[in-house]
Amino acid sequence: MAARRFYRTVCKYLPTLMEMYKLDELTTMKTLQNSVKNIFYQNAHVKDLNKINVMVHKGDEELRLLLRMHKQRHHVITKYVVMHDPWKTKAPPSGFLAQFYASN
Amino acid sequence: MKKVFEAAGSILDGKIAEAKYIHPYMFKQAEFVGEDYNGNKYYEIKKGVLYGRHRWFVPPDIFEYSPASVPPEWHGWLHNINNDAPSRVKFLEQSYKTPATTYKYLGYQPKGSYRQKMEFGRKRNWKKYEAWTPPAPAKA
Amino acid sequence: MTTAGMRVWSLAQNLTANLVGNETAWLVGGQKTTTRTVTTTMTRLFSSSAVADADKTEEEMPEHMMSTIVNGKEIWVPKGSSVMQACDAAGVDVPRFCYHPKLSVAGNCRMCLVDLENHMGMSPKPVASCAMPLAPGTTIHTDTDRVKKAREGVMEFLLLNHPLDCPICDQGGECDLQDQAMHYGSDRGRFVGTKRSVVDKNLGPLVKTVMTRCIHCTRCVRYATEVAGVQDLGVTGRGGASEIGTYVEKLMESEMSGNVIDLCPVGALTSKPYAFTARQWELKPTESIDVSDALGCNIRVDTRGTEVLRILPRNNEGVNEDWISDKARFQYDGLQRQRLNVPMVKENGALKPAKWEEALFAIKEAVGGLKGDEMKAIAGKLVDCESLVALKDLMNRLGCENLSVESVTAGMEADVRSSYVFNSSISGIDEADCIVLVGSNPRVEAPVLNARIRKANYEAVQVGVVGAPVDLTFQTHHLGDSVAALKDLAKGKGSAFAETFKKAKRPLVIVGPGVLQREDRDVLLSEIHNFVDKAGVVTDEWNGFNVLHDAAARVGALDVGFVPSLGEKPSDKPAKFVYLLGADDFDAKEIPEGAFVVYQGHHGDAGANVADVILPGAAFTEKSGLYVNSEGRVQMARRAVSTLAESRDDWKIVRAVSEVLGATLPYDTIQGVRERLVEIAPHFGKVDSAPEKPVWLNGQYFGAHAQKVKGKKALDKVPLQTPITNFYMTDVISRASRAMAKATQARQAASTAKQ
Repeated sequence: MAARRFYRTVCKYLPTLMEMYKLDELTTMKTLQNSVKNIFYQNAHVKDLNKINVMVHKGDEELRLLLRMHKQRHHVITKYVVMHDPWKTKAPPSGFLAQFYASN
Repeated sequence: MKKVFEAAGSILDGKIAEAKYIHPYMFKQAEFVGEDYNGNKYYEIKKGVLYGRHRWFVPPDIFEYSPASVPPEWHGWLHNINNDAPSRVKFLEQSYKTPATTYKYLGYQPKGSYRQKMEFGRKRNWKKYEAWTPPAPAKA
Repeated sequence: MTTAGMRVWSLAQNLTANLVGNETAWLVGGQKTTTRTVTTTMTRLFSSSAVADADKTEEEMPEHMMSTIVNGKEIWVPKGSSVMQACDAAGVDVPRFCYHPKLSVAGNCRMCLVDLENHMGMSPKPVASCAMPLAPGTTIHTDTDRVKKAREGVMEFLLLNHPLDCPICDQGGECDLQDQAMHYGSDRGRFVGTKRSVVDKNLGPLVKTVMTRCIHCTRCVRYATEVAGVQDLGVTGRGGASEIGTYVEKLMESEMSGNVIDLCPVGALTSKPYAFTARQWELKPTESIDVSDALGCNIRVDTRGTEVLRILPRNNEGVNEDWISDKARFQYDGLQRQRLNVPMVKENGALKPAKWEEALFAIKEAVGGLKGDEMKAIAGKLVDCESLVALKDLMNRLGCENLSVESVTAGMEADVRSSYVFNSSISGIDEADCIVLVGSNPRVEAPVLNARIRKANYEAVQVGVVGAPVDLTFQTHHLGDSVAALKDLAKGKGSAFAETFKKAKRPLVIVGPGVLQREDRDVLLSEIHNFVDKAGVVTDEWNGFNVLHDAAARVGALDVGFVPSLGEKPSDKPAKFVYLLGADDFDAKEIPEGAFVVYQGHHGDAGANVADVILPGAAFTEKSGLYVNSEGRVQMARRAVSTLAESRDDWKIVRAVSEVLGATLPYDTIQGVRERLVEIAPHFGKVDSAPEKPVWLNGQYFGAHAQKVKGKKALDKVPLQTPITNFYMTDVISRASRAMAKATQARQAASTAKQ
């Protein structure tokens, strides 16, 4: 219940965050919402109420820090905007090609 | 009292917090003067308060508002430039008046401002080079 | 002060005795058989023996040297040197504004004042050392109080009318006046009047003028007249009212006008595209090679972060002396436009950005099942030798022999090196005594080379032109429109020029791209070979048969053998798979209908438009690559900035393609590729050194060539003409450049105004 309420709060502040951190250059409202949702779903298996409360508290803390600009733009970008590269997680081919795919 | 704490806990403008929660008696004595097209409500107390605190406005959303949302006709009354509120006496617009554009960042923005190009749907470009865009496919 | 110190030191390294006129010719004339190039001879004397042998005793020193004492230190210099050259040889710093080793001596800035002393005593007043020939028995003093006082006086006068706008001046930080004012300037001014102001001149879209800053050194005037060969700049007015300018507003119509920016010791002439972009101390210099023409001018690429902010010339006496062309200098903004930064694959008729894996996989799909003779590879103008050799190896592994360089080498032979390089070497122009240009307009093909020919012409070497009449900025003899004119020339009769040519001991024939890029090239070449044989252009000591190319990659491609292998013939079947390595100026016929086209390169241009797969490569400032210039000199372009986004070094792309196609190339480091290059052609091992004289096998080669063209006929009606129509836009970089577009416009406007 607490988690759901917190999720709604986060969604309510997303436009604000979007403008504060100038995220509309990098992403859209929808993708941002999606990635927030994914973060919540990652912890869907947690059933212990106390644990949930602690996590919501931590999340709230994070939200407040974000709203007060105690974090900087690149923190937000690396944590919530840039999704990890699926190609990078794959086991790379060996030798020259691996290096070639990775960088110059 | 609970309201006060709630308000203090969130980000609330000092003027509104005072008018609405810290000295709520003010509202009881206040006279409602009018409302503008942005939904701001204007109040006045003629006696019993310090000069300078006798006219104020309450925006529709007290958590998210801009003082710039006060239109010029109300601005004059609010700051004691005019004696009469536009709801009582018709406000004469100046012949050289331009539309009030400051609200919603339509007005002048300095060079390099994040908001400068936002209204036109454009975005800042940090790229130091221009990439080639492939031509549109030939229609067969 | 380091800047001034370095500049003066570099000047000291490039000594030439320009000032000596005829009166000193007899001093050195006896040394060499030819007396025409006093300058050249002097240069040689200086470089060989001036400073290094300072510890030899008097008896050991050769006849042409003389001794002097500079600030108490004995020094040996060639006879006919100026006082300033003696000071430079001694390592004594003499401040200067108007003196430049590559220009004539003006002696008008008076900053280089020194004291001289001989048996009569001290000179009555300080002497301008740049214009003073060194007499025997003279002692030079540069550290006396009087010299210091005199220089301070000159500096004070210069600063009277010089604006105090260093903070907004582009020359700030690399300004000779600023630097020398630190030594000789006063900490306060005595001038109470009003400063002079001068109206700025409009010299076109490349050179910015702030004429109030001008100190009237006249370096730009002398450069325009002597080197660039345009009589545009001059001094008008007298005394305090004198101004440098074009008198009537006029574009400076030179392909090398940018060099006045380097020459100007103050901020009066600065670069328009570079204006207000950076300070000199923010920039990171990288020594590199220019690829805008086949001369391989030595350049310095100045970068900040990921941007190339300007390009300056680097001194190399063998190639470009101190100059570069405007295209080399100003095309760099093209490196930031129209770039290919991600691989692209065509889906449903439209190119879409893709991962490298996807792009390479698409190529694998396309090549799968194709035979070697159904493939084709075309290389472009700006390709480095590493990627050329990698692509050649790859295509050969796939069984493909159909390799060519766009618009020139289809059917050209790479077997005999001396048949396609500039045999006499570029500095050989200084030694030639008669020059014939065949189908070449060096003014647009290689402006710096043209300046060199002009220098020879300045010293009374006659120049003949075969082909459409061209304006080379100096007087030429037009011999005829076609190679038929060479027949008369070989006989040595018919005209005054023919007689001069016959008498010439070191004649020079330059065959330009106007011949190489024609359909009847082989026939024309055969006739030129005949002429070369008959006229004795090649002797045991002298090889005057020269080929001038018009793009940086041409000689490199022929050197690595980017042509069908010996004995193999390219198949006539229409290719189903075409690999374009930076090729954008290909003929539309060369790409058959329905072929799968891979474009590898750094700019989106004609090649990218027809491509099915685009592999983003690196431009010459973004990779380390070898280039071979027209004379066969191997030079290295170094990485100045990193590659963009997803693009990769070109040879790495070819290497990756080879692995995906299952024909893996045996090298995966750049050293490996270079070892392979040396294996193919040993001269690739000698980077940045003067080319060796190629072995002259053309006797046999000419015979074989004549056999080949038997029965073919030349298209006599069409006059020989350079293929370059617009000097400012010849390759993908310069076509993408805004500065070059503006220069083109300005030139067109000027030519229409003339009519």
